[in-house]
Amino acid sequence: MRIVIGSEHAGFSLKEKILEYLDNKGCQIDDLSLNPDETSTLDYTHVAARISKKVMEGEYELGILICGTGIGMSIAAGKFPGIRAALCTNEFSARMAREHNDCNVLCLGTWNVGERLAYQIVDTFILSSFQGGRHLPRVNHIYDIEKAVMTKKDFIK
Amino acid sequence: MKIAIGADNLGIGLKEEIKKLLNEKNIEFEDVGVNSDELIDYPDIAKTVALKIVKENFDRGILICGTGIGMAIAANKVKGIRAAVCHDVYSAERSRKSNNAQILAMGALIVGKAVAKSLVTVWLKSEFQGGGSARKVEKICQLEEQK
Repeated sequence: MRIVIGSEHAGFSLKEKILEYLDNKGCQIDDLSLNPDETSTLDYTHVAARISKKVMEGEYELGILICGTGIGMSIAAGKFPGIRAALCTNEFSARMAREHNDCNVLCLGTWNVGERLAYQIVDTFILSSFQGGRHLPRVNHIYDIEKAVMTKKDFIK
Repeated sequence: MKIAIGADNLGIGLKEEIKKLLNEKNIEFEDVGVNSDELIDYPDIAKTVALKIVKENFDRGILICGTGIGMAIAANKVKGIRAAVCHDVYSAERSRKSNNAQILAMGALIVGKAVAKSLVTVWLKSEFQGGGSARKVEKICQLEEQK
């Protein structure tokens, strides 16, 4: 599975720990975080855009975004068509995000969760799969909404 | 209010964050350690904080280790102590209002500093509500006498 991770300055330390954790498990992921030269000029929105575009275009299957609370990252990533970003602070939400909502971007807040809980959330997100079934038409409806918004069509029932 | 705060090696960083919060709120506290790389076992710190409450008239205690679990288990062995692991604000509030827990235990590997600070903030301003809860807490005290 192709996975990409990104953080701004606040999330840097947790991002490094998650990279090391996944590396020790033999899971290679690409890091597209802000580098030290960029942190003075670029924000979490730029990282969210960088990662979301690549997931949207299919270069990666899953993305992981880390900032202080994860909130800004999840809002920014969700602007991209085809991106379903979930801010998870517990393992259950991470599983539901994949199984029910087919989320392709996990957002974490380094001020909310400690490192071990973050590892569990990441593990669960990566290992869980979309269940389809009754959840498929709902996810498809999200695509319909995206298309309708972009084409300014009326979509409210 | 006078608080005793302690952590094992995993909890040192979060303990410093909570101390800053207590200072901002002008709350009197004593840091019982650990404050160095010296390896310490969490039951030693839990015992020190628990005894501050039962023997030295401290009002409350805060204990931090990796998960908060070992600290709470150890502190609860001390007669008269009720310690609760809380990682959400509602539990932190109820541990005071319903259970009259004097000790808040937290896991530095579980919660980030912002969540920990909000837990402590709510816990600090929550007081035991008495009433029906008093009867239940009294039954906990009776369990301590069970042979």
